[in-house]
Formats: sequence, C-alpha cells, structure tokens
Amino acid sequence: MWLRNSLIIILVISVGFSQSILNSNGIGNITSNSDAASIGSSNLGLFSSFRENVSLSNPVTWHNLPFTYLAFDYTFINSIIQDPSVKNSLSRLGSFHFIVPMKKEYAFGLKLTPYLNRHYLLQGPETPYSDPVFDDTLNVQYSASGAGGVNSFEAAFSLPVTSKERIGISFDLLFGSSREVKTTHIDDIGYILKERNLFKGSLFHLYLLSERLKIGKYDFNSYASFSVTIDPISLEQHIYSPFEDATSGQSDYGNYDPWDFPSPSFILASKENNFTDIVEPMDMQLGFDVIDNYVHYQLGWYHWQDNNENASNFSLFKQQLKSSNHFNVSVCKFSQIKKNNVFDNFEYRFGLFLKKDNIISLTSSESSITQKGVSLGIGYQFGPMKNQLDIGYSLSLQDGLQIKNEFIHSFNIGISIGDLWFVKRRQR
Amino acid sequence: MWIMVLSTFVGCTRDPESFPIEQYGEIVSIRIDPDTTSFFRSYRSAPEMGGVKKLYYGNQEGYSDIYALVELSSVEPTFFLDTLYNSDSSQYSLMDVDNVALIFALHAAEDTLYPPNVYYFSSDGDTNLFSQTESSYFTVNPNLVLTASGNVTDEIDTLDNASFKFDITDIFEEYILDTLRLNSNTFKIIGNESIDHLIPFGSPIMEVHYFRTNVNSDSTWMDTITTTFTTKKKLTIVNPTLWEEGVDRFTVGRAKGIKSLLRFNLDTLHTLSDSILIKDADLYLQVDNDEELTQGYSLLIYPLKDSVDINNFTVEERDTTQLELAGSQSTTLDTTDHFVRVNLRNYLSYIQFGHLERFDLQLTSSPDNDPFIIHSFINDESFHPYLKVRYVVTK
Repeated sequence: MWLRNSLIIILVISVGFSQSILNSNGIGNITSNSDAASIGSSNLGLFSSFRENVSLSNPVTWHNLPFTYLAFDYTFINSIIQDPSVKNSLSRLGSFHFIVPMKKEYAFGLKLTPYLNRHYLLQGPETPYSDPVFDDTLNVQYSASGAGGVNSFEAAFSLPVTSKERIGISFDLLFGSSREVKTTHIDDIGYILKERNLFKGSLFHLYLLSERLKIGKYDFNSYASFSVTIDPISLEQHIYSPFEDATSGQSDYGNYDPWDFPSPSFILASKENNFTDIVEPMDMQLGFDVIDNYVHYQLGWYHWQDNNENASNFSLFKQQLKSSNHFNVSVCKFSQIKKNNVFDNFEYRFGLFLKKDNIISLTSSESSITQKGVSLGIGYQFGPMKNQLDIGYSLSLQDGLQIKNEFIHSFNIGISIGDLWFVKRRQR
Repeated sequence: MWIMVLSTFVGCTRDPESFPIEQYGEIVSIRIDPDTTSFFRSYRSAPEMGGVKKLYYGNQEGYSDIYALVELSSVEPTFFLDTLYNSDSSQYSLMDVDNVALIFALHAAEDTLYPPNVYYFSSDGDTNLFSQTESSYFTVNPNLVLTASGNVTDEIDTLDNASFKFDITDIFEEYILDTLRLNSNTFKIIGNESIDHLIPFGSPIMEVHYFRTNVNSDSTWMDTITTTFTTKKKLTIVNPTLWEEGVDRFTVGRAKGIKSLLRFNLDTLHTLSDSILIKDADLYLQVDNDEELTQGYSLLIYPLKDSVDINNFTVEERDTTQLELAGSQSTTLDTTDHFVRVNLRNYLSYIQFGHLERFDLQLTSSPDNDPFIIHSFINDESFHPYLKVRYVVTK
C-alpha cells in the first residue's frame, strides 16, 4: 500500500507542474513553496505556518507536533495572460510529508516536493518565408513545449542544541525528467524534434532556530536555513532524430508513426549528451517571527542562486536562472490549545510576497522576472489526533521575458493525518 | 482507489503562449551545382527487356535481330493422351486433339500485313532464360530452334482488334506432348527482314481444341472442348548494335542497354547536424530539346552500392552495377517542358543518417516505357544538372 501510494505520488508530482514560459528558462522555474499552509501565508516553509510553531517544511519545528503526521497537499493553478489571451490551468499533488516527532525533542521526516518546473507550451506567430532557392513561399510557425521537472526527496532530522536553539539537517536527493518537443510547422506539416532530459543531484540543508530573543513581552523567533550542493545537478540528455509528422491535424499528431518521414527503420538512435554541473544550487533563508498570543507576525527572505559560472547551453532559450529572491510578510493566527468554541479550531493566514528571478542569457543580455502576490489561508483542526485540513490561495502578478501581466491563481488544499508512533502502549 | 481519485483531479488545459521563438528554428535552402568531382555519363550494358509491357518483333533502325520469347504455362501431356478413365458409374476416354493455336493480339490492325514466324524454341527446361539479369541478346542462344509453324491467319474484329493465329498442332503433338522431354513450352516469334518497322504485340495464349468421347453404361457421346494456356514468362530479345556516347549528353534507353551515372559532391550533407531534417530535395535535369518527349515516359533512379570507375565501362553481357532499393525513386517526364524533377529526399536523408554511402546514382528507363525510346539529358554550358535541398534546423 505504501509503495503503491508512493509511486502514485511520484508519478503525479512528475507530471503535475503548472505551465508558463518562465519554466522554459535554463533548467526551469524554482518551485519554492508547496504545502497549503505555507502558500496561504506567502512564506516558503521556513516559518510556523502549519500550526503554532510548526512548519511542515522546516525540520527544526517538527518536534512541536504532538503526533506523527502524514500530510498531502494538492494544488490547482490557473494562469491567465490578457494580451494575447492565454489561459492555462493544471492540478497536481503539491507535496508529501511524513513527520515523526520523538519525545518532543527530536524529529525525523521525509519530504517529497517539486523543486524545478519545466512545464511550458510556446508558440510563435505564423510568418511567411520566401525561399529564393525553391522560388516559393512557405508559412512557417515555431512552437516548443516541455513537461516535467526536478523533484526533491528530502530526509531530515532535527535535535536541540540548547534549551532555546535547535538545529536540523537534511539530505536532498534531486531527481526528475522532462520532455521537450520543438516543432517547426511548415504549411501545417510539423517537423518535430524531441528530447528527453534526466536530471539528478543532491543537496545538504542546515536549518537553525533560535527562540532566545524577546521584543518586550513578545517572543521573537529567528529562523535560518542554508543549503549547499553535494552533487551539482547533472543532465543526461537524449535527443531523438527529427521527423516529419505525416498525421498533422489528426489525433495522433506529434507521435512518431510508421508512416512519418523518415521511416522508423532508417531513423537514427537517440543521441546522448551528458552535461555535468549544469546547476550548482545554493540557497539561504532568513526569517523573523514575532509572536503575540497565537498571532505571528513574520518577515522572511529567501535567496537561491546557481553557483555554476559556466552554464551549459542545453536549454531552449540558452539561458541560466542565475538567482532568485523572495520576500514575504505574513500574519498568522493559530488555533489555541484550549478551545472554547468551534472557531478556536481554525487557523488564519495572510501574506504578501515579492519574488524576483534574475536570468542570464548565454547569448545576449540579462533579464529578470518579477512576481508580486497576496495570499490567504485557513486551517481547521479536527479529531482527537488533531488532524488538520488546510486551504491556501494566492494571487500573483508576474512580468518578465515579454510576458506582461500574467495572473496566477494558486489554490491548495492539504490534509494532515496524525497518529501515534514510537509510543509504548500499555497492554490491556 | 487512489488512482481513480487522483486521475479525477489531475487535469489541465493547455493554451500555447505566444512568444517569438523564430530564432530557435531555421529553414535553409541550398543549391548543389556540379563541381570538378561531379560527372554525368552514360554507360552501356546488355539490353534489359524483362518486365516491359509489350513484346516486339520486326525491325528498327539502330537495332537488329529483334524477336520475342514466350513461355506458356505448364501443360500436363498425360491429360491429352488417349487414356481410358473410370469414374464411379461413368467411364470416358480422352482422345483426338483437333487443333492447337497460338494466338496473340496486335497493337495496330494494319500490322496484320506483317505476320511473323513462330518457332518452337527449346531451352530444355532452362528456367533462367527469362531472367532479367541473365538473359539478353548476348546470352540467349538463338540457334535452339526446333521447328517452325505454318498456317498463320489474321483476324480483325468489329472493334478493330487485330490478332494472329498460328496453327501449332504439329508442335503440340510432337514436342509438348512428348513426356520424355524436359521442355519449357517456349516459342520464338520473329519477323522477317522485309518488315520495316517494329511491331508490338500482347502476351500470346495457346488454345487447345480437342474431342472427348464419353461412355457410360447407357450411351456414348462426344464433347468438343477448348483449353487455354496463358503466357507464363516473356522477353523480347534485341541486338542493340553499336552506340556512341553523345557529347555533353547522358542518355537512357532500355533496348540499347544504356544507363547513366550521376555524381554530385554531397560533402555538404556530412557537415549538417543530426538535428536537421531534409524537407525537400530535388534533382533537376533537362531533356535534350531536340527530342520529342514521350507522354508518360518514366525514369528510375537508384543509389549505387559501390563507387564506379566511369571511364572503364565496357559493353557487358549483363550489368554488374549493384543498386540500392532504399532511396530509389521514379519520376515521369513532364511533357509541357523539357525539365525533369526527381525527388531525392529519401536518398539524401539516408546519406545524412549514415544508412547510405555517398556513391553515385544510376539513371535508367523504366520497364513501363517503350524500351526502344531513348532520351538524352543536357550537360553543357546551357544547362548542368543540379540539386535543390531544403532542410529544417531545430536548435
């Protein structure tokens, strides 16, 4: 059962990225936050957002959970560009967490989350091409699409350092694949080149928490996390022979059929390119959380960068996502331990965020993508094991790379199921 | 259950985003003209008349010894012998071959004025006689003639369909019904020297008319029966006589055994990346303007399996040039102008993919054509053959 569910999760995460032109840059677009509680508060998982002093994505907070938790998040994303009118929507399983707190001191957990998104579908305008050699005119249109990305499977452990400080470490295994299809449409006949990219790499994460400081009567928690690359992300790229799709306009368009040109018996085997160190990611997060009786005021900064100075020329736009910065301010009101009425089971989250990605073109200039957004979230605890249902919504406006005013709606729903593990039960 | 739940929710709509991505693809067209390594030359081997639609006899300028060989489908000699059979309550006897006729249709009614001679041509059961690659004027021994037939009659029906009918009863009884011989039922049809033109005709048939006497316990009666044997194999033999290669021309002609070899410098193909796809590749030729184009005249073009030394070709009994079927192409002459366009996309693509070597091309006349028609193609200052190649580059 576990194996089957895990396979399903991996499958769905592998295919379930939202689509955007921004995902075609370099290795793809960073998928920063993934669980519903974090999305509802605009933070990237560093702060407590799941419940009081707990973030599903930060191991140093896991010891505050009363039980072992299994959490799933499901995401619905809708992207709208006004001019030209483009609408994209997609749903996916956002993340999977399995967290085991031990004696309120230690915690161990596994996470499976998207890390990079390479889901895009681009189409250029149809333009006439006057051929001086053949003395004719062709109608030409280019398109490109990608699907897939890189996932992160993280095994984390946290422990106290002092009575007020905690440390957490994790090893991230980065893996995934994507398929790219580049098509030249000439007079409605497609000339198609397909690629398959296999990614792998690994990271080490260090998480820190200090609960030592106070501002007046308010608790002041400081959070930090750092990651460094153990194995830079490498790429095994398979480029298949291009073919002319004889079934243009039909249902099996895009598939390589025996009646396409050239015939399968004459097509070349795929060409394999191996790129090592295509991305050497490093990230850091800093966050401050002022706590006033279950109400948390949070300020956070996330920085991601690629330390690779010699980016490989493998991506569609020959670009490298060089760095990404994310700022957020959030307010969360968590449910109280002692609940007087049903409303005390609810948790409320609100946040604002600003994200900016810097992209270096390997052939020309540097460009950036900005994303400004607002988010809302609500959670509800239920049952004796304090199971929790979370809903998060964010609306953001994204600009950059010739795309203006792309509205992205993200709606997440998460369910967390608690259970007792590693507890000796008395025999009846 | 999980799969059902998840597949219910996993769904998406995909609209393409408009983006100027033209620079990530490219269409390139090039013209490949002959260079110093190129040549367009004719060579000569034996006539290849197998597979042509018609058979011929008569005379044609530039040729001699034109005759046709036809092999009829198998005859069971014992069937026609005088034998008594028993079958249930009936018994019957086969006997008395009345007459046997070899009949073939002429393509022109007026050719009934030029009857040929028909000979029984024994090849002693040699089945290679009709092999395209083995048999020609240079390999078939014309002296294996056993006997000639007589009593030719011509018939023209109301639709102006003309035919010849030869009485070959004697040949049938003496040779075909000879169970001691290993025969091939082959006939030679040849015109006499007085015929001043080429006479095409269709595949002959042999009609055997015989009487069958039926006997049972009550009565005896006789049936008159006709059995038809069709042509199994056929071949026109022709002496191609002399031929002189034209200056600044290359030529094809099946009855002359003339083919041409074409070489272009295709080094460009090896400089192209694997991610290109050839969209169009055409060879352009020009037929000699002095020649009258033949409606429906077809050309075949084949890649060679090995390089050839164009200067050391001699007239051979058969062509030893090895051809590749992959990448071969046919085209039909456009009679509205003298240009010929041959689609060579497969050939050039297979070279690009490394499935074919960059050897030369052989140009030949199709078996569908009148084999006696010769067409020449220009290769002089007024026109040199060239290639146009258009390919799609995906970056």
